[in-house]
Amino acid sequence: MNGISVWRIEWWRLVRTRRLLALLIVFVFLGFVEPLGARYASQLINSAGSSEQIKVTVPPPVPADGISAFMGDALVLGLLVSVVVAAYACAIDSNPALSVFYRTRARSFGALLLPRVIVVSGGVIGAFLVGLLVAWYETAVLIGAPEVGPMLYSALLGSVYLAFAVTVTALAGVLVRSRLAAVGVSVVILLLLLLPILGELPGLSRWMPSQLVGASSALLRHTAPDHFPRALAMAVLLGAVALVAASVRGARREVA
Amino acid sequence: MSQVVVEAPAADLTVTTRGLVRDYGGGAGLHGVDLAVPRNGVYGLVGPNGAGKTTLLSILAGLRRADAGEVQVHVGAGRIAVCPDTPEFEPWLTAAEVVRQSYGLVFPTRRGAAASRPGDPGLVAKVLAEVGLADAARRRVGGFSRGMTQRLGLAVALVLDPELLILDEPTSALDPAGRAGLLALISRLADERTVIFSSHILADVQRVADYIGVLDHGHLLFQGPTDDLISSHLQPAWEVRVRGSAAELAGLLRQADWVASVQPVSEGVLRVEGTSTGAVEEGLPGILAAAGVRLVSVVPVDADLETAFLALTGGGGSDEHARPGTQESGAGE
Repeated sequence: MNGISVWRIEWWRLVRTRRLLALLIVFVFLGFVEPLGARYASQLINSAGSSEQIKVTVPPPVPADGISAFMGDALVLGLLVSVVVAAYACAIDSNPALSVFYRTRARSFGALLLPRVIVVSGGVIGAFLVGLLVAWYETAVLIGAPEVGPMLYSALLGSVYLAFAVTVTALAGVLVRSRLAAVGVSVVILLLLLLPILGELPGLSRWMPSQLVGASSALLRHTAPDHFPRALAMAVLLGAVALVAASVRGARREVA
Repeated sequence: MSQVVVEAPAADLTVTTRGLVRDYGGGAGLHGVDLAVPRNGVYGLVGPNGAGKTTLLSILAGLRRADAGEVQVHVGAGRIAVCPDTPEFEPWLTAAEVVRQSYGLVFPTRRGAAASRPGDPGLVAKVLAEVGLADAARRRVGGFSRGMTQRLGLAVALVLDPELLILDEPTSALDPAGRAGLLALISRLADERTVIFSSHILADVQRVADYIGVLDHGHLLFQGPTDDLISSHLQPAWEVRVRGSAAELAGLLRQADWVASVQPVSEGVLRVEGTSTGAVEEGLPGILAAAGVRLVSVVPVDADLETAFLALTGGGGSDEHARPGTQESGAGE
């Protein structure tokens, strides 16, 4: 008899719990709405205004507007949903009875955690890329075709940032056990600590993974600074450190 | 810090602990437990709430660490299966998938390679049938009752064909028929493996356990054959039924030096406890004759584990009854 592998179980977790569907809905929705908003920003602003004496003039949209609008929301709102999905998969000890089932069978805690992180990351990145394709197509139709090179690089940077967010959530899930607490800790780290605080510190900001959030706009407008590779490398490094730390801490922890 | 050492099979013992301590403070935890679980058979672990049973089983399973002491588990690597009292599984898997998941976690296969441990293709159906879940094999476990989940917990352990099976309160959620079936299954399983079985339901333990360990306040008060516990902690007792009043008979019995106590149960019925079985068997006929009563029956009162347990723990384990010393008996030492 062949048992069911942990990889298949994690795939089923993503599909059968409809978490993959939720991710797809969020990213595709953003991919559909954001370029539309960028294209009709001027009309939307003026129709929303009550005064006939004030007319807001918005520069004609360029392809970078549609894509960067999507990326901005995908790496904040989409990231929020991704963190929730990751927390529900990676907080292994949040249910002690289920944790006993897994821990008394797996060879190591890392053997349980790694497939969860990789499969969730794959689901999140896949949904993000589908959303980006939708945004790309709609931007091309409504505004104009963005350049392929910067688009591919933006896709890479966004994917790495989302995978980094999943590893941070996995570490939080091991440290705090509760899924909701893991979501809270991850959101604080990713959206409150990294973006507005550490991301603004001179010198340090260039190395922060949060630099990847605004990368697409700079790349598509050709104003890209040269420090994205540093932020990319740091995101990969910190993600790996978070994963190792989560595996080590989880292995040492007792089941409640 | 203690270590759980998995060793090559030893001849007569599956699990031994030496001076096992896990102190939660306030007297809770384990305080120097020396466990000796014989190979094959059922070892019943009993004790009141808070006695330390779950802590002890968790340490044996490697889920918790001891503050001090040593644990030796003499079974092959990966040959321990644990079934908690309230097991839980992914609610979006079917019962058959949960069993296969359990197998896949312990015996992972690599793509293109044969299974690291060959198994019977019909094993899933077999273990589900053994625990009475054959008809529910394709149902998602999210809709299972607690009793069904508990039986599935045993199935996911059985599919691993463990040498050591640790069951924490496995019958707590089952109806009488389910309990009887599961106890019969546990007895069968113990022919080829060691089962450590903790339960509050002492009648269940008495029914299946060959050996018993009594924990109270983190101390192992007794371990040895179940029959030894029952016989060594009970005074032999008989129920004497006579026609008419038994008052005169009770008076004569109280004067006999081999009688420990005489208690009227109802009109014409006495419960007589003696100092030993032999003394009662020799002395009782003479006193019955001297009293001139019309004897209806003399029936030995069945000794049961519950009575022995209460005698040992002082009726529920208040602090003044906690005894740090371990009484051991016979086999299993």
